[in-house]
Amino acid sequence: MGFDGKNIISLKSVCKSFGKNEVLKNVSLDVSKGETLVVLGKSGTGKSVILQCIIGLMKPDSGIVEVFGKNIFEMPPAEFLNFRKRTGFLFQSGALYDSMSIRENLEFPLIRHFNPGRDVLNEKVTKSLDEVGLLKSIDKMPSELSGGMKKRAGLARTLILEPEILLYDEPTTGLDPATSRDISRLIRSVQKERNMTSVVVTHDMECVRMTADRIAVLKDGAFTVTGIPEEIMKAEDEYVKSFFN
Amino acid sequence: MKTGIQNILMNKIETAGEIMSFSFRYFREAAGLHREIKETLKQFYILILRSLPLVSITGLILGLTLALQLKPTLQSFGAEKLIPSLLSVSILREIGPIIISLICAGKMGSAIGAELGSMKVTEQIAAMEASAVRPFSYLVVTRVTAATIGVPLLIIYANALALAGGFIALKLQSDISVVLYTRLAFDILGFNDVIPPFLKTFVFGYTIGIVGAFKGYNCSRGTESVGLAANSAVVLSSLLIILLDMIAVQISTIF
Repeated sequence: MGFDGKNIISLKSVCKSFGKNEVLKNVSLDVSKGETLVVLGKSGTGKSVILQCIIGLMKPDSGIVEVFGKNIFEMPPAEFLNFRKRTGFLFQSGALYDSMSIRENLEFPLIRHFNPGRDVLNEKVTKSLDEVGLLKSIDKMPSELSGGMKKRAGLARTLILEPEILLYDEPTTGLDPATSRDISRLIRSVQKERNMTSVVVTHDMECVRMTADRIAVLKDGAFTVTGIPEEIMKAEDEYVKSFFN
Repeated sequence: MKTGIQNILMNKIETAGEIMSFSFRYFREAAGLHREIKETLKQFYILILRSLPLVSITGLILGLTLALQLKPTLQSFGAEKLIPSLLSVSILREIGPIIISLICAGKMGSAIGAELGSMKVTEQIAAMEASAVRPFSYLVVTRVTAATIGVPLLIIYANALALAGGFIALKLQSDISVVLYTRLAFDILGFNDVIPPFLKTFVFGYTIGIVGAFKGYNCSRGTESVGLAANSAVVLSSLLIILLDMIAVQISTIF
């Protein structure tokens, strides 16, 4: 099951259009194992579309999406499901199942995939919620949580399957600065403790500074600059500068 | 003008094709229903429970009013004793299945459409897909199966209440006994009055479930679309129930 290659995620000449609107134009991208790549770009530039293509929620019009060294759209169904178990996705809203309590939200993927005993379930749910600092809210319903708590709960639900890759879709959008910093810190600590490969899509510069090992700047459906944060911050490109000033 | 009509027609044909494809997917994935028994029973319980009060009141009043309406007309022909037979045939063959199915289309169809639509809009369905849980099997197969089995059971229950309502109406105006009423109501019934109408209720239940699930599952983004999904689920399933009923009646007259 292990993947020994360097690039755990690889996008090759990916194009995606919605009607006449060409969102991704020949996008190519490599993400190394254990790296946190931040995709930076203004709203509507196709950042979230890249994440949805990586997890297979959206199929590109052309190009190849390789994860763990294999084209995900050519995987047999069983292998595709297994790839998704190994890849977590944190949605912008947290996407908690609103008819279930936080405990049930976390138990749900575990029961569906492994159906472990009650003791194992309790242990894993407790550990995962403790990791994101939400243990006290274990029996609350999603509607009783704040925006930041929902994102934490969403992250806990994603982490419970112990993924090797984690994709974050605008994890700090709509949160106050203090909560945004908490979420960014959490992303960093998860990445360090689990040596997780992460792709973070955001336009929150504080989140970029706190989490990025490497930054890729998306403009008009294509990457204009890619590099380590220090390089990107010194870039002369006006579009890139507009984010840091 | 012509292009506009053509576009509307093409859209309708496209939607019909999508519903057919959604239906085929249901039958394909229903093969794994044994893995979803717990959720199917939960949905069955929820859908039946939500519809029970409305179905009970409708069933009882249906029988009561029908008996009250029939009485003066048949009395003028001296055919009062035909009322129980007329009630049982009309309720079991047509009025019960169609009225209760339309009630269920409003209650169950809108509930399924709105619930799945809201899950779609808030990315809960995408979250299930992303975590390798098969949302179609968990959300659609369970609800459609629950509706397919639940609607016929609700119709049987409502038919019984309607016949009871008919008895209450007659008892208030005459001294007919339960035994006589039951004998007059049931002696006339034959195979065609019971089995074909009962079988068509499964089709109605399936239609309510599949249309509600289709509209919700394919709901576009935005909260407005959740309301539209629920509304169009009711409208389309009601229309289909009436059309399917007409076809079922035509088929049953052949035999």
